[in-house]
Amino acid sequence: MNINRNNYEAYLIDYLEGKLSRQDEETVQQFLAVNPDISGEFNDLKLSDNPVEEVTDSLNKSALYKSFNDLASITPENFEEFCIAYHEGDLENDLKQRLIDYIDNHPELKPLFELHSKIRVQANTSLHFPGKKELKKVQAIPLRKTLYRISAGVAAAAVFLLWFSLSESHKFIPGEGNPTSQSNTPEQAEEIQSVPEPKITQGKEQNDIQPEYKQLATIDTTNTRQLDKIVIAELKPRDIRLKNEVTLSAPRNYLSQSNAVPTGFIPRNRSEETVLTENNPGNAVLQRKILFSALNIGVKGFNTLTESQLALQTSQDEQGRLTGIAIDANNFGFIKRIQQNNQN
Amino acid sequence: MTVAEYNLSVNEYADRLYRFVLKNIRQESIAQDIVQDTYEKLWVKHENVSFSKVRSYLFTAAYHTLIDHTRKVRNEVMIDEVTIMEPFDTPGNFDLKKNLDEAFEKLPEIQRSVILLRDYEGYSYEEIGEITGLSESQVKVYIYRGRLALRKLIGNPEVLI
Repeated sequence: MNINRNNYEAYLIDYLEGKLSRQDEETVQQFLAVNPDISGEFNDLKLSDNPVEEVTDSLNKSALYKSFNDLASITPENFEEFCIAYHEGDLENDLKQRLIDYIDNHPELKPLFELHSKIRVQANTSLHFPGKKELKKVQAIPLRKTLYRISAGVAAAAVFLLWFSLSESHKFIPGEGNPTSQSNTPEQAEEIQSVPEPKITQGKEQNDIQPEYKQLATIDTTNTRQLDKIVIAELKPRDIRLKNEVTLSAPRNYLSQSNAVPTGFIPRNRSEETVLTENNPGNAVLQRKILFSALNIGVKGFNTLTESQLALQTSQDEQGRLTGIAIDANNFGFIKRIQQNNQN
Repeated sequence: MTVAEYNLSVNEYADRLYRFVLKNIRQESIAQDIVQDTYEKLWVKHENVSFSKVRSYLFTAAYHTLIDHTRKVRNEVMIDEVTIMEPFDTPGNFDLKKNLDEAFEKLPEIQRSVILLRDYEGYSYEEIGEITGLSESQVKVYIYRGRLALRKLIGNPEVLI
């Protein structure tokens, strides 16, 4: 221990709190003996070292508390305090009765009593926090709602497919018009000439087509009129379903040679819709219905996820064919109308 | 508290909290900021706050934000003595609600807060004490003083006649 005039306070406090060893206590006593001014300070510290807790513990604070019951009587001076207590529900029954009796004896005070009952601040309930919507948090999507997400994805795909499958180019009549009438540059013509003629491998290619699409991909050649060769069987299922990709194109080397539709090939603006409808009219309608069902489920899932109110509607003709589809949101909507092919 | 419960607390208490803060502070943009701030605090701790305690949490957090803001601004005249207040109206020209609202704005901030918590939300003295950090006795004193001040500001009961 190295007690001196610069650090003695801490040692004195430790001394009073009994935290020093006997040897250190003796050192402190020796220090005080040679520093009488500090010794006087130390004595003051000892006197003041009367724990506050002991004082407060010895004080029975609860005995100091007063209640209305301790008031001798109701007077004009404390009358309003009683009124407030009455309306706050702080008075016990006997005091309530005493107050009522007092008012009965002093009827001039009754208006004051009643006024106190009306001093209540009322909220303006028509006032609303304007940013309430922004305060809300998006709920984490639990696993069980994954289905909704999947269905929303399916809906998006269904919208895409349905939208583009509702082709308006259904008026093609085989042999009339030729979408390949665009001029080709010499270089293009040369290139086209170099493209080998495709092999018609109807039967072989069908083996690569999934069973559920075989019926769609197999074209009854007796119904293709003057088209005695058909290449639709070479198309893959995805190509059949996507109109823009599916547009059945004649090989390029044929396109440049004649305005006439080459025998055995379906012109490029002839959609899969036309082909399917001609050969198996039920399938096109069925596919649309399947797509629409998927879309409808997806829209419901989307609504659940996003608290949206998208509505999906269709219209049909007398024969039950889809003639239009509409997607309606709160602020906007889409309507797609279908021009039916008269030949279908 | 789940996210759904958090959002429910927005539905249930955002308006009430906003009215409480706005009535105290009387500035819409600041009141909105305080409510926003309060809910941000709640969101940070939402996993540790049970839904049964959320109202108390919101009002406590909003109250303390309110106090912090008031201390920073300190642009209001704190009137703690009823004696310097003058009654508003004379008989025959009296609108109790209007005068009560005007009188309320003249109260010291602490009295406004405890009275609002009492009148708007129906909190007990103990609950108000938990929100404001005051003892139950202090809350009671402030409410009594505030009500007496309001009555004196409004005037004598003859104005109601």
